[in-house]
Amino acid sequence: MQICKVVGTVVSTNKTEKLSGMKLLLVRAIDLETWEEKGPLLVSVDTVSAGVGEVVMTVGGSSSRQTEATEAKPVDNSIVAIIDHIDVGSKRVFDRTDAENKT
Amino acid sequence: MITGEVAGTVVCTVKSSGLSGIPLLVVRLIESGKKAGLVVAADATRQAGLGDFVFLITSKEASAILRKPYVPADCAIVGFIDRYNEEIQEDWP
Repeated sequence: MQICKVVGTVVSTNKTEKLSGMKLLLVRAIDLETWEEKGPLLVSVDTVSAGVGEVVMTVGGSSSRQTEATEAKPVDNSIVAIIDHIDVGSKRVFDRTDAENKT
Repeated sequence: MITGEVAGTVVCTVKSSGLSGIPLLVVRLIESGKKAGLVVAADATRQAGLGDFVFLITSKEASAILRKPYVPADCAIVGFIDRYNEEIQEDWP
C-alpha cells in the first residue's frame, strides 16, 4: 500500500458508465523517509470519504477492486484508509491531529 | 516475493471494512543486502514486530492470503526470515 496526500478532486461527466457515482480524488505518493510528496498525480477512487489535504492510504492494482464500492468496476487505485498516525522506528512521522492544528 | 524489515506501524480508524482487525506495518525493503524504500504492508501473520526480518507478497495475492471476502491490500507480510545467504553470481546478465 502507499501513503498519499489528497491534492485535488476530479470531476468527469463523460466517462464509462461503470464509473458513474464514484468519487474521484487526485492523490500523490508521500515518501515516508523524508515526508515529501513525490511521484505522479494519480486519480484514485475514494471509498472512505476522504477530503482534500488529508493523508490517506491507497491500494493499487486489482486489489483496489476488493471493496464493495469498487467491485467489478474499472478501477486500479482506490483510497482505503484515512491515516491517524504513523510511527517509523520510535519517531512519530505523522499525526493527523497535529496536521489539522497546523492548517 | 520481496524481503524487508519491519520499521514502524500505521494506525487508521477510518478504513475500508475489509482491513479491520489486520495490523498495518511500515516495512523497509531490503534488496540484495541494501536498505531500499519504505512500504506499508498488512500483517497476515499478525505476529510481526519492530525489527523482524520478514518477506512480503504483493499485488492481488496479498488480498487472497487474508481470506476475508473483501480485503483491499496489495502488500502483505506472510513469513519471517531466520537467515538467508546470497551468492551474487558475477556473470549474471
